[in-house]
Amino acid sequence: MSQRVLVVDDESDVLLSLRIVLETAGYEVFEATSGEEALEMLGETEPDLVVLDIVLPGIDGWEVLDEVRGRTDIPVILASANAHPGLRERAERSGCKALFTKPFSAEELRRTVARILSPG
Amino acid sequence: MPRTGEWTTEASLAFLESAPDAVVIIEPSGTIALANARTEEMFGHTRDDLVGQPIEVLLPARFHAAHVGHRNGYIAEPRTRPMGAGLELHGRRRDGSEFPVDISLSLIDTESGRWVAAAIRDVTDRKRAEEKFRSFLESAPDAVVIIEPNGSIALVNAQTEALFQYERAALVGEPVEMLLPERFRTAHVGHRTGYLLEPRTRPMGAGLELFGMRSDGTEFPIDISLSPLETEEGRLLAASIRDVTARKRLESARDEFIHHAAHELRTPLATLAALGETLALRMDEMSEENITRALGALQRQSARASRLVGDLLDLTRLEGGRVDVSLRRVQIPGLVARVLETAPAPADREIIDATQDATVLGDVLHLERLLTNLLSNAYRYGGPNITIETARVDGHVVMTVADDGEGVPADLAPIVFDPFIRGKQASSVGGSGVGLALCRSIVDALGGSIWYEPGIPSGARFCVRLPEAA
Repeated sequence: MSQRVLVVDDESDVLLSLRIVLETAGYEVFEATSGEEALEMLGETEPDLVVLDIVLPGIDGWEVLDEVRGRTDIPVILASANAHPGLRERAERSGCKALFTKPFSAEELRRTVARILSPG
Repeated sequence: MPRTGEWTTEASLAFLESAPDAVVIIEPSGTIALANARTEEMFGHTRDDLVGQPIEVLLPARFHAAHVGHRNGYIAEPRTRPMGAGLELHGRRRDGSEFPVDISLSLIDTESGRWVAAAIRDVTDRKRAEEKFRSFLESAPDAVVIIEPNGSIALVNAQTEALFQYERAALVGEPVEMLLPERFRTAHVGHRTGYLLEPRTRPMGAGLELFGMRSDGTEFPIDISLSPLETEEGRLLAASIRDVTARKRLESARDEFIHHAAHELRTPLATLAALGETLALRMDEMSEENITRALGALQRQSARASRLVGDLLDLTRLEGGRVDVSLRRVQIPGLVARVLETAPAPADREIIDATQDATVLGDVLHLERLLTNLLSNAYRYGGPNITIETARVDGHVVMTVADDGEGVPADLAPIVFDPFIRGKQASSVGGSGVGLALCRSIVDALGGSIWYEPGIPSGARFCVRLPEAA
C-alpha cells in the first residue's frame, strides 16, 4: 500500500502541483485548503507525512504544526511563500522535518519526502 | 612731523602719498591738515577743498554730531585700533554718495597737541562679496549652517530657521550640537573635531541614519553635506542640511510594495517551477490525467503572473504620472457593452445593465480597464447578481458596479484601494491584489474619484465619479 501525504495550502494550483509531484512519485495524496480542514483530515486520512503551508486563512500553519506535534509524531514539511529573516530559526525550533520556500524544486521535494518516509 | 635718523619729511610725505589707503591727517581741532592722492580719488574732493575743512566733511551728515563726540573721546584716551568695531562705517563722496569703509586711527603727539592720522579703506568690494555670499546662502534650497572651528554656529539661513524652528538669534553663537538629538551630541563633538583636521567635501555619516532635532524636541531624518570654508578668520564648516522625511517615507512605501509584489509572484512561480520541472523530468511517470491538469495549471499561473506583472507596471506608471491620458467623450453604454464582451460574466452570475445614456470625459482604454477590474472583482467576490448603473449629479456622472455578495469586510473598507489588500477568499479566486489600486490610479489620472459603499441590505458598491462631457 502506498504511503499517504496530506498537503495543505489555500491556493488550488499550489495544491494541484504538490499533488502531481507526489502522485508521480507514487504517494497517495489528500488535500486540505485550511488549517481547520487539515486537522479534521488528520484523523480521517492518517497520513504518513504532512506538507503544510504557513500562511493559511483561519488558523495558520504554525498552529496546525503545534497541534499535529501535540497529537501525533507524523512528520511535517513546512512550505512558505515568505522567506523573511528568522523563518528558518522558527521552523527549526518548531519541530518540522524540512522547510521549503516557494518557488521550490519538485525533485528536491520528492527527495526530501522520500528521505523522511524511507524506513530506517 | 617727527623725524628719525636720515628719514626726511619729504620721504614721509612721499610714502603717505603713495599709500594704498586714503590717509588723512587731522589737526587737534578736528580740521583736515593733509590728505593724500588716494583720498582725492576716493572721495572726489581735491586736496585744496579738504584742507582746513572739519573731518566730518568726509562723513554722511547723519553721523556728524556723534562723530564729533567720538573724536574728542578718542583724543582724550587714544589707542591704535580699528574704528567703530562692530559697526558699519560709511564715507561720503563729494557728490553725496556713500560707500562702506574700514578706518584705522593712529595718534601723533606734537608741540601743538594731538594729531590724528586716519587710514581709510574702501570696502565696497568686500561688502558686495559678503552680500553675495549672504544672498547665495539665503537662496540655497537647503538649510545651511556655518560653523566656527570651535563648533559654535556662525551663520544660518532662513531655511535653517524654518527647518529647526528657531529664530536666527537663538542659534548664532550656540554649539551646533543643539540641532541634534541628545544621544548623538557627545559623539558629534569628536566627529566634528576630526573632520576639521582632515576636511573633504562629502556627505556626512555615509551609511548612517542622521537626525535633526527641532526646538520642540521632535526629531526628523536629514541628509547633511559638509564643506570646509577657508576664511581670514580660519577654517569654517558649511553644513547643508536637507529634511528627508518625505523621501524616507517614499522609500519605505516602495520597499513594502516590492516586498508584496515579490510575495504575490511566488505563488504562480511555485506552480510553474514545480510542474515545469516535473513535466520536463518525469513526464513518462505521470498519469495522462496529471499531464492534462499540469498543463492547465501552467497556463493559468503563467497568465496570472503576466497579469500581475502588467498590473504592477501600470500601477507604478500611473502613480508616477507617466501615463498618457487622452481625454475624449466616452459613452457609458458603449463602454459597458465592450467590456462585457471581453470579460463576460461567469455562468453563475447575471449582469443587470441599468446604465443611462451618459457621456463622460475620459480615456477609453483606461476606462475599459477600470470597468473590467470592477467587474472581475464582482465576479470573484460578489453574489449571483451584478448591477451596473449610472447617475448624473452636478455635471458629473457616477457609474456604480454593485453586487449582492457579502460586501467588503468593515476592517478592509477604508483601505480597499491600497495595493495588496485582498479579501480572505482572494487566494482561491486568483486576485492579484492590485486591481482596485489600479482603478484608483486611473480615476486620479482622469480627474475623477472612486469610493466604496456597502450595499443595502448587503453587497458591495464601487462608485466612480467622472466629469460629464458637454
